[in-house]
Amino acid sequence: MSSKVTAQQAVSRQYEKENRALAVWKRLRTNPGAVIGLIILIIMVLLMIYSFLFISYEEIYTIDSKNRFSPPSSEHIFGTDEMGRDLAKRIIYGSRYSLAVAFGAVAIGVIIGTFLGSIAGYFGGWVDNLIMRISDIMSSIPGILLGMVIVTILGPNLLNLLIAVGVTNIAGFIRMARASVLTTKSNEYVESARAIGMSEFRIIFTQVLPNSLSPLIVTATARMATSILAAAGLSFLGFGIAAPKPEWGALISGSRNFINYAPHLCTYPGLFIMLMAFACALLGDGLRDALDPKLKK
Amino acid sequence: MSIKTVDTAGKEQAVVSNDDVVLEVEDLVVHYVLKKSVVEAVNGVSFKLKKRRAIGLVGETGAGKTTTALAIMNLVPDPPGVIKNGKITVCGKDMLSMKPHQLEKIRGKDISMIFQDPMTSLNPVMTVGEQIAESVRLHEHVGKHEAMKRAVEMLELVGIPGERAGDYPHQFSGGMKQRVVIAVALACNPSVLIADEPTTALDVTIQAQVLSMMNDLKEKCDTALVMITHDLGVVAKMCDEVAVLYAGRIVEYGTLEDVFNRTMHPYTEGLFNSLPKINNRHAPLKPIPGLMPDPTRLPPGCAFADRCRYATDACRANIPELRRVSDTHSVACSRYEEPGFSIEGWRHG
Amino acid sequence: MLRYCAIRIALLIPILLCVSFIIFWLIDLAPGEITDTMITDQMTEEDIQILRAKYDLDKPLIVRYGKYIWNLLHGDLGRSQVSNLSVWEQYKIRFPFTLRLSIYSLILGVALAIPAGIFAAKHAGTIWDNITTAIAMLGLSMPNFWLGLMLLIYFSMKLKMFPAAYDGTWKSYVLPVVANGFAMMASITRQTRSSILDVSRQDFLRTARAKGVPERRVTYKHELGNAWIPIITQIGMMLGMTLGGSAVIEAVYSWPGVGYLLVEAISRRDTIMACGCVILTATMYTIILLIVDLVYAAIDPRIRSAYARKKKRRVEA
Repeated sequence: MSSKVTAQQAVSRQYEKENRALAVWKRLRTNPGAVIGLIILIIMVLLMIYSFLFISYEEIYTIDSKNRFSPPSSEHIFGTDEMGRDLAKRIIYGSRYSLAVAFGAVAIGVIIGTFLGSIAGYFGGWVDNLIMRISDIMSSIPGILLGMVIVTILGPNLLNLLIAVGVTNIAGFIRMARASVLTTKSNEYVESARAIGMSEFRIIFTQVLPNSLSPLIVTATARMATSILAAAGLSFLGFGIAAPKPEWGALISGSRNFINYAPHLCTYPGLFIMLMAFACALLGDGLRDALDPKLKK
Repeated sequence: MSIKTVDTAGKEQAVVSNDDVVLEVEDLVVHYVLKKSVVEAVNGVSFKLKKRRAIGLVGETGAGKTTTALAIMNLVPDPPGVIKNGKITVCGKDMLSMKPHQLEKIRGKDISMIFQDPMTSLNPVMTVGEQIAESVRLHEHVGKHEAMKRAVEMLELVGIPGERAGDYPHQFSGGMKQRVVIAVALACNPSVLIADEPTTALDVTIQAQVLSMMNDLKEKCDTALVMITHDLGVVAKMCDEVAVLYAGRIVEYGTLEDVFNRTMHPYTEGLFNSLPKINNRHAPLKPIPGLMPDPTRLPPGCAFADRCRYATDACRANIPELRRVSDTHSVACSRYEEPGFSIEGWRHG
Repeated sequence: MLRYCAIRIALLIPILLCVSFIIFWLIDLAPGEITDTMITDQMTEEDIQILRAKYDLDKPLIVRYGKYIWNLLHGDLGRSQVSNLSVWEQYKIRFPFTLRLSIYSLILGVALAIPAGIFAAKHAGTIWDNITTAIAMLGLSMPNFWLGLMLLIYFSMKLKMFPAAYDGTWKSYVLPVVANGFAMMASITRQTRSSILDVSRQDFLRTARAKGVPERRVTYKHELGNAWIPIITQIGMMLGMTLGGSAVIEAVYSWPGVGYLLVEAISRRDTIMACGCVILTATMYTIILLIVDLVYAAIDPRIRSAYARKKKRRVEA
């Protein structure tokens, strides 16, 4: 194969890729659910940036005993907590944890899961068997339990929570990547890649995986929603980010003792968790329809 | 069959006034309204069918044959389908003005339909016996046991051993499934049976079997038949009358004799010319050039004009009316307004 | 069929061995030991060693695990290292509570979700469909512990309609069942909608309509009859998930189920209890998945005959 041809091919492939992304974006734009989801996510990211720039550490942690449990008012739109801290600021500050979990835990699942899954699918045989049995074992332990154990071992902090939720995502991505690879690896272009002497790993990562991208993106987005919920649940049970830090699940957990007289402490963080998961789920559905218009009809 | 005689007696009374006509379609117009366009699938189709007769609706894919059939059953999927105009009378009953529960009483009893693909036409999680018996139970209000007995009889009538009534569709071959589909359709001895390309999905050898069985059953059950097909051979074998459809209109309508031996419309001629000649196998086939016009943008004049070797500017300006040329024969072609015009005609050999 | 069940259950054994080893190993890795809370300042180094020896903590992991498995093979799940109660007895007392909670939630979820899913599918593309799917999506996005707390605030504390914790009456079931069932309902609604939509394009529905089957019967008998498989899968997954993961709801309502037992066991480094709970829960989970498989065969004759032939055969769509 001459270099001229490959260059041409590269250009046309690049062009096709851009075209395709544009087409997907155009379809996505016409889906009201996806647009709402995207807007909510963008607002969350903006809130996070705002919290990095304008909310100081002191504001979040300093105790103000005069203002304990004040209900929502113009001064404190979500009210204050048991130590007189402004709940709205704490929730906004906590957006970083949720976003970190949404992206981080899914990234762990995607990276490890697709790596193992594509190896299993591509090589088959004992490699496949081994990896699939590992995946079976992982999926036969309830996710929340695995998360609890991992956080217990590693200690409660953001990174460990991320790992704990990420690990529960792996099995799903293994199965998905394997299935995609199995269906794409028999295609002619993979044969021809092998014929020109590409190495097996390069074939997987340059030829096979990019063509299994659509289901991967869709699952990843949907998984963001479940990861947010799982992380909040773990924090709620005390196996996540520890109490003084304003992680949303931890905020709800901390509010449990005061729900009689300060229900707002429980209500607002929950609404934010819901909004965030809702946005990811909407976006996931929208992406599924946009990436595969055939599925919709 | 004993049950049949009782039934038909009642039906005869209903249609006696209308000269034995069991099915009448008048000026049927069906459109599919899509987001950005309107598919003009059927544009003014009319025909009549008498008791025990068979009519063939012939035409290419997309000519509006299946839509016509679905409209007769009042089963056009809505949305996007809209029956814009027309009147359909089945055994004296106006199908298009009926309420859903009234329609349910007519479908399967007065008129039933066989669909194109036997592979997907049967419910995979019900036994074939149940599927036949369901129809009997709905229309004849008999008990479960009685209905199943009828189902077994029907299976045997279409040449399947009765003990297979407890089997599921996936346990049958394609030809057998089509027999089952026919048994379902005939279970309540309908006056009219619509068969939408009943043999296209089958092997050639099975096709002949199924067709001859349908012919026998038609005689036995006194059923009028609407045969939808693109296969002129099937028409010749099964039908008494033929209506040739093109772009949602009937372009030629007459008895089998009229249409096959006294062909008048250039499109019908084209259809025959594109068949291999049995006497001269070396003669090259003469396919009709071009494609059927886009049904969302039909031309203002004759829809066939662009593919027609006789077409004039006048053809492209006005849509030709279906005009009688004899008691039984009609054709929709403007050229016949000119005295002395005739097509070359197709030769048998 | 029997053979198939036996193979499925036999395959569970190596998985359970691995799972239990992983739990043993992970808890061993975790900082802190079960003896930590028992050690007082008065104890000498020797006392501590004796105490640790009591829990076999002086022996290597593999020995402790071997001993556990040996007992397990004799049907003994061991005793809690904290309360010294039999794991099996504890689990047996707690499991019915979790099971009842799961089953009732599931009944509630299915009873609402299937009509809702059919409704949405029948009105696909209309505002009704959008509303139904939006509610389902919200239900999926709602943290169930938060919903539980919200229900607690309004129905238990404000309106005083239902108790806040388990007290033996049917009323105490209402809130946890609703909190637990809502997410199930949401996901089963979505699944029902999409499977009905898939089936709604099939030709045999036209055949049924053409023979005069009333529309209601077309929907419930013909359409739903063919849409069950993915819905049942979803129901099975949901049931498995609540059996294993009801810990959160149980924590909200102080529910005496196995979820909370497990959380406590892990927090206290009660290895034997935690391991026992995990093994029993994973077994339940597998049995549910097996039942789901058997249900497939019961509702779909094509799957049934595939089993009968013992080898997978490609079935026609």
